[in-house]
Formats: sequence, structure tokens, C-alpha cells
Amino acid sequence: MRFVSPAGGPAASQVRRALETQRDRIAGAALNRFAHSAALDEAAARIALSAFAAAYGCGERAQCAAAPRILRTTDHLPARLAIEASTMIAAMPGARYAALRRRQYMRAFTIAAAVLAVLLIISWLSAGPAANAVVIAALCTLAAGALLQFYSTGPYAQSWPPLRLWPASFVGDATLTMLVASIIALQAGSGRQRAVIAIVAAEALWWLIPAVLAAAGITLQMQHYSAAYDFVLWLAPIAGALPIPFAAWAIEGLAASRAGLPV
Amino acid sequence: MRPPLEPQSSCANVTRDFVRSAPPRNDRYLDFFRACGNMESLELLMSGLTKTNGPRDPLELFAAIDATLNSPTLKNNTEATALLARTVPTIPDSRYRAIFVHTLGRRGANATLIALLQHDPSAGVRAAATEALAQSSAPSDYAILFEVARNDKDAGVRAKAWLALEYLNRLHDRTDRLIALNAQSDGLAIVRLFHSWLSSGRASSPSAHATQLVELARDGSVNQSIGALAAITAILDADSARMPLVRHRGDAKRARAGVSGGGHKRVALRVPRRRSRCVSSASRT
Repeated sequence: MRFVSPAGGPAASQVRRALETQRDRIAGAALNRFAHSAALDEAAARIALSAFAAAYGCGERAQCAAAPRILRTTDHLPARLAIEASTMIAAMPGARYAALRRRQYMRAFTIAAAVLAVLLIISWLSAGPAANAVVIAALCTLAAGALLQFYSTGPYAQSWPPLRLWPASFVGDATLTMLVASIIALQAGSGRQRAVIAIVAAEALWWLIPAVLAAAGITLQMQHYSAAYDFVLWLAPIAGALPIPFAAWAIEGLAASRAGLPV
Repeated sequence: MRPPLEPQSSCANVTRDFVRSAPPRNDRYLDFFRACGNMESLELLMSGLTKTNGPRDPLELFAAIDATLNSPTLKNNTEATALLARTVPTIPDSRYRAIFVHTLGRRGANATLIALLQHDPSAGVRAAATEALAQSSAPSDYAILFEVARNDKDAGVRAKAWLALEYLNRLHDRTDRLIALNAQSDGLAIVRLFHSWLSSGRASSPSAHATQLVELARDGSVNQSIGALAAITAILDADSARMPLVRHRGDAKRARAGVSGGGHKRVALRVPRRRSRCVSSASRT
């Protein structure tokens, strides 16, 4: 009994050379197959994605210099396939997935901070304290989100999903909740009212936002694999239900005081 | 060390109580049945399983039956196998019929497996019978497997029957291999049958082989595409070459003899000795 390994032998190297001249065609075929793998089983989907990676020289043990290019392509797939592809690429030893995503997130956070800084200056110069408070709240939320993202997450694809799926992650959901809740609260009159509104709104949004995002197709559930058995996934929303509303309250209070609103 | 044999009258009485739902006193009831090993006990247990609303949990009954069948006296007993073959088709719950199919397969009751394959209303049982026949060492009627592969009303059973024929080395026709390949829904079965189908044709040169693979990956059927992509990955990714995809019976002998057959074999069979050793150790795991 023998395992057939078409990669062995001198003829195999000739076949490999012939295949290497057709890398783009192979990558296209593999990506197309993976993109239409919803009806296939997980092994078939994995084969398609492995072929896509292999077409760019990424394998089980090789260094994967083309990982950014692969991720750029797979990130445009539908959410379930994109996160599945990210998870599989993160498992490739040479891909350095977390480092790549860190750089990508760093760029995104920096751009967002720069935009908010410009808005802050504009609001100081020309808008009232209410608009100023909203921008300060957004900046504070962004800072809190960045701290959580860069200092509290592991190297996993579920923690560092494709950027557009970030709101569905724990940190993304928390950031979005704090942002929206503090902005809603800042519209109220007195400081006590704002505190109550911030806490209630954040609690409601904490449970509402994931459902809305999932309905909009922004989800971290994979196409062929289920993480429902993962206890952490059950524990995380419960763990966030208490501190997130108070964080929203704190951000709202800080923004209001910095903008000169009545506290 | 074998457990001491129980007095036969005690065996029957305890079995009767057990079937009538007396709870087992502890987990060692299986040791008791293994020690009993008598036909009367087996008959009582099987009759418990054929009742639609029997008091005893069928899984406990199954465990007791399995223990009884593994007793030293009944292990190779043809009478016990015959009793099993008579009773299994009458078990009302298809899940338990499917479980017993593998027991029948291990005991070489191929005639019963074939009868189940042809007549059982449950696709799960027919699929299990197909698997059991594929693993059976006794010769069986391959025409029936072909018949099931072509005409069974359930796609899963058809796929398993084609796969069984491939494992039994009964697929010689390239058209049959292609039908078998396209019938599969499981990724690993696809890879196995793709290789079988591909190696039955001839590629004139390594570059023609590469072009054929790429064309299949792009324009072949879904399963041809998956198979071709798996083969391409194995070739391109030198490290994954150590991670075998499929295996063929008798290939080792041919590889050792240096025999090369089909077009693909020129690529596949000339494996360096060290790598093939590594691969065969993987096959044991």
C-alpha cells in the first residue's frame, strides 16, 4: 500500500516548473472555486484555498511572502468565506498573519485618528460645544478601541478579522457600542440624564449591534466551520455587558467636561 | 485474563431481567455478558432490540449484545452470526440497524449486507452496508454494488457505493471512474477518485500533464476542479508532498519493482526511497 505523491521524482519537478508558469490561471481557478464553495464540504473548500495559497508560493511549511496579496484578495469575499480564509491563512506558519493585520489595523486607526483630529480642530473653531463633545467622544472611543485591540487580543483571525468585519469582533462591537451610546447621551440636557441615557443605550446597543451587523452580513461565523462550541464566544458578551455601559458613561462624561457642557 | 464463565442458567435469568429494564448494577454488566456468551442470552438481548417500545435503552442493549458476541464462545460462532443476520433486518429503528451492519460486516455476513443494501428502506443503513462491504475481506457480488452505485435513489448511497468499488479495485473503466468522481460530495473521496480517474488516462509529457491539471481546475466539473486543485497543490507545495493525499493498494509493490504504467505514474511512482518510507509511516498513523 502506498500513498501517491505526485510531487515526488524528477518528472514531478518538470510538472512543477510547467505549473509555475501558469500560477495566475491556477490562482484564478482556485479562488473561483473557493468563492463558490458554499455548497461544498469543508475539505473541498480547504483544498481550493490551499491551491490558491500554493499558487502564490505559500504552503504548509514554506515562508509565505505573498500573504498580504492573498489576504487582500480573500478579504473581498463574502464575510463568511473571508473570515474562513483568514483563519486558514493564520494557521499557515509562514504567513505571519497577526503581524500583517496589526500593520493594517495600525494604518486604519491612524487614519481615523487623523480625520477626527481635523474634525476636532474644525469643531473648536467653528462649531458649538455639542459638536465638539461628539468629536471628543469619538476620539476617546477610538483610543479605547485601539488600546483594547492592540493590547488585549491574541494572534487569532477571530481577533484580527478582515478590517471590514472588525465591528463584529468583541473589541469592534465594544467600540461601536461606546461610540453610539456616548453620542446619543451627549444630546441630552443635564449631566445626570446623560449618564442614565449612556448606560441604558450602551446596554441595549451591546446586544443589538451584533444582531444588526449579522443581518447586514457582517459576521465572524465561518462558512464551513462552527465555533459554537467555543465557551469564550458565549462568555464574551456576558463579560462585556457590565463594563461597556459604564465605559460609555465615562467617555460621555469626559467628552462633556472637555467640551464645556454642563456636568 | 479471561473472566470466569457464568453458570448458563444464571446468564439467561439475568439477561431476561436486564432486557425487562432492571437497571445494570454497575458498569461491569458488560463483563458479565462477555463472560456469559451463550446463545439463549444473545437471543433474549436481540429480541429486546426488535421491540419498538422496549423498556431497556437500545444503546445499553447494543453494548450487551456486542459484549456477548465478543465472548470467547461466540466470537467466531456461525450460529450467532446467523441469529444476528436473521434479527438485524427486523430491528425497527434504522439507527440500530446501521450500527449492526458493521458487526455483520466484521463477522463476514455478506449475504445479509447485500440484502440490506438492496432492500432496506433507510439510506443510512444502505450506506453503512456499502461501507461494510467495502471493508469486508470475503468476496462479494460486485454486480450488486455496481447496480446500487448506478441506480440507488439516494445520492449519498450511490457515492459510497462508487467509493467502495474504487477501494475494492473494481473500477477499471475510465467512464465509470468519472461517474464515480462526479458522484462524490466528500472532499477526501473526491481526491482519491480524481487520482484514480486521472491516472487511467495518459499525458504525453510533464507539461501536457500540467496543462491538463490547470484546464481541469478551471473548466472541469466541480469535483474534477477540486481534484485537480489538490493535485496542483501537492506538486507546487514541496512541503505538502510529505503530506500524502491518497493511497492505492498494491502500488508499493509496483513502486519497489520500478514498474511504471499510466501517464501519471511516471510522475507519481518514482518516489525517492526516503520519502516513500516517510509516507508509509504516515499511512500507519
